[in-house]
Amino acid sequence: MESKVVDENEEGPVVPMRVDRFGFVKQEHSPTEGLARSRSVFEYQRDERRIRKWRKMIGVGGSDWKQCVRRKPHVVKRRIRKGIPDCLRGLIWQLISGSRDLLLLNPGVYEQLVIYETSASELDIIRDISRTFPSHVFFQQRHGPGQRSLYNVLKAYSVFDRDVGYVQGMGFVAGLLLLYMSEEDAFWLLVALLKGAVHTPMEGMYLVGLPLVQQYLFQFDRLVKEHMPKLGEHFAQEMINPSMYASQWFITVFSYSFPFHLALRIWDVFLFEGVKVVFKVGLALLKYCHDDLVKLPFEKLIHALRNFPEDAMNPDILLPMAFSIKVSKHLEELKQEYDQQREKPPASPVKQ
Amino acid sequence: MGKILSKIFGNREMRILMIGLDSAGKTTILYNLKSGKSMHTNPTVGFNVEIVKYKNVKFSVWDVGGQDKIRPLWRHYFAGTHALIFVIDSSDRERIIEARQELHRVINDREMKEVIILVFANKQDLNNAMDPLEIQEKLGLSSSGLKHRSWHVQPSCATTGDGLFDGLQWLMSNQKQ
Repeated sequence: MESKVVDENEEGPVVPMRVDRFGFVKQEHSPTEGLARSRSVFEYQRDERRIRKWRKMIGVGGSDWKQCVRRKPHVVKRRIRKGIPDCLRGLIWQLISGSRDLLLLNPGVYEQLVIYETSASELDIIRDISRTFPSHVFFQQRHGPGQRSLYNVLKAYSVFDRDVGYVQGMGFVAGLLLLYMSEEDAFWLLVALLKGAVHTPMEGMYLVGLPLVQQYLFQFDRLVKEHMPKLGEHFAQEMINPSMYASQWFITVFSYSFPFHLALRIWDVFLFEGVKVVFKVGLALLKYCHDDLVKLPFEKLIHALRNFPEDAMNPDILLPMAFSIKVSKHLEELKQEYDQQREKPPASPVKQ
Repeated sequence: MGKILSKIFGNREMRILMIGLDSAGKTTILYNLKSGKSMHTNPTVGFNVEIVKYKNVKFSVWDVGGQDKIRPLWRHYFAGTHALIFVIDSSDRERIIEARQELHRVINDREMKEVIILVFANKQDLNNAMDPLEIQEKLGLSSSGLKHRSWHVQPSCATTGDGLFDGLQWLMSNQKQ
């Protein structure tokens, strides 16, 4: 392991930090090292080929994008599932999510929100800034450019939509976007996601009581029981429910605690296909570890569900497995069932 | 079999809900109890849970995100809880009123009527930290409404671990049978 070269106690001239190819400071025995290491000649050539194909497909600056999505949606979908080339990711994400259009329609709005408005969430945001991706070079420096942009984007959003304001978890989403685009672009992508420019609006995940998270957890719970009855039964016996392990999968779309190279691949698909990929990846993770999980008692389960083995988190193994799980139709039925249940008034909350 | 043995030897289990305003130090407390080390923590999205063994008691400690929007979710964890740990950032004078309101809202809930209450007056290492007595007063713990509840304010510093096991010791000694 090369990363051992750094001695934390060393003083004197500043030792350059060792970072992986995404800019995260390498930790000794970093579990992702094997996957994020420099790539082989074969992989380089493959990546170069992919970049050329992508450039041709989207045209200069993405000018042909809308046309190619309309004409060859299945080709676009297939290519996105293979992973968007890292150098084009920022641009493609903005095209897929519809945020580019929002930006063009609203000149000067972001600046207005950042500079002239004040937000009730300012202190809440500040408390979390230094705790968001602290191991990334961009966000590491206190009050540095990374932390400042993250603050600006979150503050701007909290003004833009005062009902949502700021909720813990949004920082990881905004932080991930900021590694691939400017502040203003990241802000509009956040707007596109929360307001539902292309897919179901995400804002229900960040409103008081997190109503949309509750719905997703209900749906996920049922999907687990149907796709993996034995595991579902075991979870029920050990009193494990998805709120214990999957809420952060939904709230941050896997950007909170998963290896970054996996999170990016999930985001590629998430932006194009919507939230169903979160269900699919979640089910695939459980499926991959199924035979171990069914043997574990409560305390070990809790741990295992937050610390999946490295091979389970290899995107080239996990994602094909996820794509093979079909959920769309069922998700819709479960949503209806959930809505029906909610129409019956639940036991009224206790008054003080 | 395991259950019978543990009854004979007096092993006990205690389920604890740990709450408090965001950035009070809950997750740092949890991981220091678990591993004895101080770690960098992220804002809690969802919650963390760890099993901590201390003497003959197995504590399952549930650490729930503290931000105001997430607080309605705390209720989901009330049922079956034996004790409440409420964590205060002792240096945050501006939000002590907000902390007081949340604490009272929770302990007055029907499901929480029986639980014993441990307050960690955390971040005692900071210069301007309020001392346990001041916190006890500002939280309104001395008020007559709480006469029949058992509660304790324990000064702590989650990063060094000071005071944390003293807190668990109090929980053990005061657990209702």
